[in-house]
Amino acid sequence: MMKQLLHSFLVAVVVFVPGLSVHAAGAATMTLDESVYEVTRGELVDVTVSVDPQGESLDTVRAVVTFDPNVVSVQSVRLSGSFDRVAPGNYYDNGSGKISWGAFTLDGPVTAPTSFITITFLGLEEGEGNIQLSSDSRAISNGEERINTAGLGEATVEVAPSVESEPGVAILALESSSHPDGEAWYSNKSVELSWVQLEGDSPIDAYYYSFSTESDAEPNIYLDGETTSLSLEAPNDGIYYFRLKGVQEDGRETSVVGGAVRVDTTAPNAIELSVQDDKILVGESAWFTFATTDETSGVLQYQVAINDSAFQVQTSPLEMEDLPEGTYFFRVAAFDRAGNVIYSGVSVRVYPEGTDLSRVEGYEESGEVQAITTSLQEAAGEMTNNRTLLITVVLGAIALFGIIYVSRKRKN
Amino acid sequence: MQYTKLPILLVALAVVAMPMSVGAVSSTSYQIIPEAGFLSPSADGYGNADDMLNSTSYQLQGAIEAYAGNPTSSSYQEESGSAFQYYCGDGFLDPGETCDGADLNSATCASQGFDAGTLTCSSACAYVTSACSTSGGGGGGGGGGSPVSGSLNEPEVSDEIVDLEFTYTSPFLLYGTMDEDTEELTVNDDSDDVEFTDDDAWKVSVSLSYGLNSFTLVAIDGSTESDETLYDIYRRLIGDVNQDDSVNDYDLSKFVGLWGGSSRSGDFNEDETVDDYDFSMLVARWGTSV
Repeated sequence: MMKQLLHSFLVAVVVFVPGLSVHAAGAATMTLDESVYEVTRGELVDVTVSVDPQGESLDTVRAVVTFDPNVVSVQSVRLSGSFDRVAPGNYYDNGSGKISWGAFTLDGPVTAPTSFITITFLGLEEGEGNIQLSSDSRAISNGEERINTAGLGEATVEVAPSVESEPGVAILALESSSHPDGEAWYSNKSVELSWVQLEGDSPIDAYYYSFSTESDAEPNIYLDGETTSLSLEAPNDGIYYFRLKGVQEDGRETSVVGGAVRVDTTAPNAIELSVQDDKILVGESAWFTFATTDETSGVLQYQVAINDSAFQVQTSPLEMEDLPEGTYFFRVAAFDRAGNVIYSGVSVRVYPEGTDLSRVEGYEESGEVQAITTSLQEAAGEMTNNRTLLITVVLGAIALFGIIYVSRKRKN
Repeated sequence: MQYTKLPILLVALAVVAMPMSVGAVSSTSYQIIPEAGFLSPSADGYGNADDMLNSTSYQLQGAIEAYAGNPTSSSYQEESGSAFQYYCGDGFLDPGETCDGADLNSATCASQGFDAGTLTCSSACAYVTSACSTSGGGGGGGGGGSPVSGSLNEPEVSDEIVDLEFTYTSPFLLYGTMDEDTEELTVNDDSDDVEFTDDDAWKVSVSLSYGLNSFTLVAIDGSTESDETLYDIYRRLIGDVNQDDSVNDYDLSKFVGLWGGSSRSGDFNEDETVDDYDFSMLVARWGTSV
């Protein structure tokens, strides 16, 4: 009896004490690498977010960055530094001007200053805007918040007007047969590039190029003026920038042209396909949950197949209704944006109606899935409420305008 | 357009816009049912989803192992055209079977009233306890002792599940030992589902809710009732490592600290390793709360 009571006490301690833990603030700071960024309209600029643990031992971080979406737009966010795995729930929104990007490491706590993410912005409109780390940013050590919100960086971004090309100077037209779309991801590390010279009063004497992960790297690798194509190999997965300029025989330089090359040759992380109940009756639903992450290009979609049917795009949690009695083998494939894929599978058996599955009292058909779908419903509800509010405002405005119009008409 | 027709246009616009708002309120985005063609196999002659759903041609029989990395597995056997049958020895724990192959329905030697050993399943889908053993003498664990005349010892919950402290799943097998004189054993005042697996062993399947689940056990012998035995078990939300009933960055941080180990706090699929598969389960519940 004493043993049972002691156990009850221990369980209570285990259960309730962690719930009392406070996400206390700490000393870790998160900063931007510059206080002012200058970019020409139509060109790219990299903004690096760094973390300084300031004595903390960090394992998980998240940067929440706000920016002026009229001035710049996000082209990509990539991990850089010691936090090498992407957290779930990452996104950027060029409509509202917000980025939420988390990462973690499995290689032991980070105790030294490190870069965390590099954000590549495109200069949209001439002008000035802010880039700011929000107080929602996180620096976590073993479940405890360790960020010093007073130490969050902010910067100004200045977008200058685009430069007109100088008369008489050649224009270079660049294309890639292997990676034609700079916005798309490819699972091919071999990059084929070619270019032509347009206009120009003087022949090209030499070309200079750069191929690196920095969007504004100076082209400084020499090619003779006869070269019009190049084969390169991306050393790793990631986003690379090819930049090229020509130097004419009269000594004048062309504008730098370039493009992004996005390479991801690695499949997403492992997926665990879970089924709510692997024994169900005819007429009941089978519920599945599945998810994973992808470090480089991100997960594009999940596809599900039953037995040897074709794969079809689906989302988690997935409900399958109306399965006739039998045994079913479900497979899920997670595709990243470069087309790399990883698979998982699970089986479910559907018994005839009336079969005694010996379910215990209080059997919950979809207890856990319910928790997940409730969260999704709440999120959908929020979106719906926002939309409803917007439509109501529009309708109200129309009605008001109509009333004003009619009353004026009557006065006349 | 005549100026005087403007109000009519505005009213028409409002009428058109109204159903948009109504539709938005009732929208749900998460529930998925089979779509047309979803079950259509790629090359089997079945034209549409309905054909497939109503067909008995796509039954799989035999033990199916989950696999990864290959879209065409040879680990399961498909038998076209056969009616669905389930039977002892097919690797699935079907209704009426105590066990089947390696699936012991979470039972162990301890749940069968033994102290140690390895429980197996016979070809007749019944437990084989020949490799289970009982340590001599003493009678399993604290509070044991021989019954006092006129009194009944309280039931014991197996150390195996006492040590668990928490679990992730709703179905749960509660088991332990009891006084041999016990005629009836109640769990939260209900003895209906309690089974006696031996003269001094009992078990009952229960369904756990999220959070703390408490059970009160009483042994009864005629008009004599034992003292109460209290047993608590916590059901956690998968991914909720820090037990604040939600899955977010703070759980991820704690999970990272468990990586590569075997801590049950991060071992959601209970394969004794905290790895990518557990991470996948955490990710699938990201943002969830109970």
